[in-house]
Amino acid sequence: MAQASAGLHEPVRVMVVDQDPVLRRLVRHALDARFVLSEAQDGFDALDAYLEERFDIVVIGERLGSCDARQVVEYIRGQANDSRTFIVVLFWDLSPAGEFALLHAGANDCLRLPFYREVFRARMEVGLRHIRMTQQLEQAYMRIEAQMRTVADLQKKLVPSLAQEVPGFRVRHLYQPSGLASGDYYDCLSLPSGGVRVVVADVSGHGARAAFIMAMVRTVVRAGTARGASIEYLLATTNTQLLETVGDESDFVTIFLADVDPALGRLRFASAGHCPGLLRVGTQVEPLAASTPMLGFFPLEFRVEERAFPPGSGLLLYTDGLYEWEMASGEQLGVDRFVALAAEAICEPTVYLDALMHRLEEAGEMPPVFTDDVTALWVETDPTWRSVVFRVEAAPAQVRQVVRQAVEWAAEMPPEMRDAVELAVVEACANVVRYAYGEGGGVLELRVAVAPGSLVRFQVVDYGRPFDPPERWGLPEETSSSGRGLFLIHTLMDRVHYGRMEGANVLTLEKRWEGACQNCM
Amino acid sequence: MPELHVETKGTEVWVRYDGEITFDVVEDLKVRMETVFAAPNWKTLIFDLEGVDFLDSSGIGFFVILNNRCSQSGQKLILFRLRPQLRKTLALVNMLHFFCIADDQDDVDANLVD
Repeated sequence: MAQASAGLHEPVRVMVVDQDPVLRRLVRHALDARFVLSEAQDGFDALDAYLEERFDIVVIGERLGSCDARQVVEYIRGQANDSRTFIVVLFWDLSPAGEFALLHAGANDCLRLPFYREVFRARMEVGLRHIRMTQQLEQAYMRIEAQMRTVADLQKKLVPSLAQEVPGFRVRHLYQPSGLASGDYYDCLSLPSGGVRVVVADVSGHGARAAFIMAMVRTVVRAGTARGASIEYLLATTNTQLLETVGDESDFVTIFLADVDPALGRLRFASAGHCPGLLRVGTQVEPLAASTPMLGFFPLEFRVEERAFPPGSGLLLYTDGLYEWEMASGEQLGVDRFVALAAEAICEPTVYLDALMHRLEEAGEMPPVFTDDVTALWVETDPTWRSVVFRVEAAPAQVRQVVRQAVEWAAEMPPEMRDAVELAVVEACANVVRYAYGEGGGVLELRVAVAPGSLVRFQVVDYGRPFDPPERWGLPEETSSSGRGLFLIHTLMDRVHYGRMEGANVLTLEKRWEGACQNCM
Repeated sequence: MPELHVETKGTEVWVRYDGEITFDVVEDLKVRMETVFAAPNWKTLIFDLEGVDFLDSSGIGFFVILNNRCSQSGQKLILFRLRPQLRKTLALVNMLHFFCIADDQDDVDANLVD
């Protein structure tokens, strides 16, 4: 179907339909050069012409042959779903009820015949203004929509795919923005400790404004985590940023931040006004309530809580969109009902968020119709992983002894790999003994995790001065008596990563044994 | 820490050590080797490594120091009877060709300093 004239300065296309040639001539003579007129005698012919070439204004007389004016109006507004075309009905004799019916069916104007040419022209001017305003609104809407799409496209890039596997963890997520742009944020970031930092946040409102604030929260969380910032620091910084930018407005953010450390079997978390996270340990589920109000209203102090997180434990974070929807009964699902359903879902041997959605559908006796952004994030430690932590004074003999114990503990790695791994760990620990602490000495922590049949991870942790890893780790001159340790570490291990976290230097060494072992000894 | 066995045979000094040569024992070994270097009239230092099963970069550095000192004073260091494990470690850091290595007495004899 053709479109009505789109440009604001193009001629306005008018069709007049009536069997009376005199009436059509009256209309023709009343229009000036801004209007291009088409004529039809029969109502159905007029509709055929309308479908071929949409008109900006349709003038309908009383004598249409095969149908009447109301049928034409109803067709245009109903079947053709056209609310733009301006419709004027001319009549000789019409009751108030008939006029009401025509206007109710969608006519914009009704004009009694015979009309004064000036009055008719004035009515057409009204139509013209209506058309121009509609066009302006459409163009403004298109511009706004284009901007919203730009915001949405940018935001899509901010939402993590979480496609990359995090060794030792199973991570699943669900993300359904209610519009083009969303105020929900979720993330799962690897920590130098070998653990992960998970976050789910919910910005008040929807659309571009919420998306902008969401981007701000994401930047604070990501940049802070990359620099080893604590949960408390991230919450305080986010709150400060919000107070500085939207502190005197009604915007706010609820957020749940948690660090999962499988080596220590520990969960550290804080929630600012966010719906309760659900911690599963064994078959027990504990709702983790917020300890502070939402962010963005006033300065706050944050308190981080701890829970045990043994192998196989899991944490479910989500936003309120997941439970603020209406069931078939007309009631809201509500947080209590949701927590009960989610607690059952996350106690299944394998947790799938699709299964959680299925439970919601059963409870609501209908597929959930979400009106808010919906986000859920599930993280659990791989129950098959084993881990242990050795702690020792950073003194040479003790450290060498603990490395032997640690390698012995991870004895299931292939024998040909064992010496290579031990040598790399010895080198890493020797660096701590030499450089981490001054005269006073300190502690060396050796965290070991084994994924049966596939991977061993050693983490050498000290609380001494920050380590500045060199960008190059080549070999020194042959006559040099030092400088080969880092080369050996990087050559012998598959992955080496240094990070500083909460006052600790954490050097992570990983070795996989699927396939051929490189540089095994 | 295991014993360092030192035996002098003419112009040869034979040193044997059993255990690991790693960062935790290297400083002590350096001190004990001072008595060897203080002894007069030897030309070749033969370090028997048959009983050494683990060597780290500190251990490699220890032998580099011994080798440098010998070279500077016209003496020679021979690493004797390296286990495959130690050969692999030296190979990883491209140091196999840096040292004089002897697998048996004939190799030692062929490398003695006149």
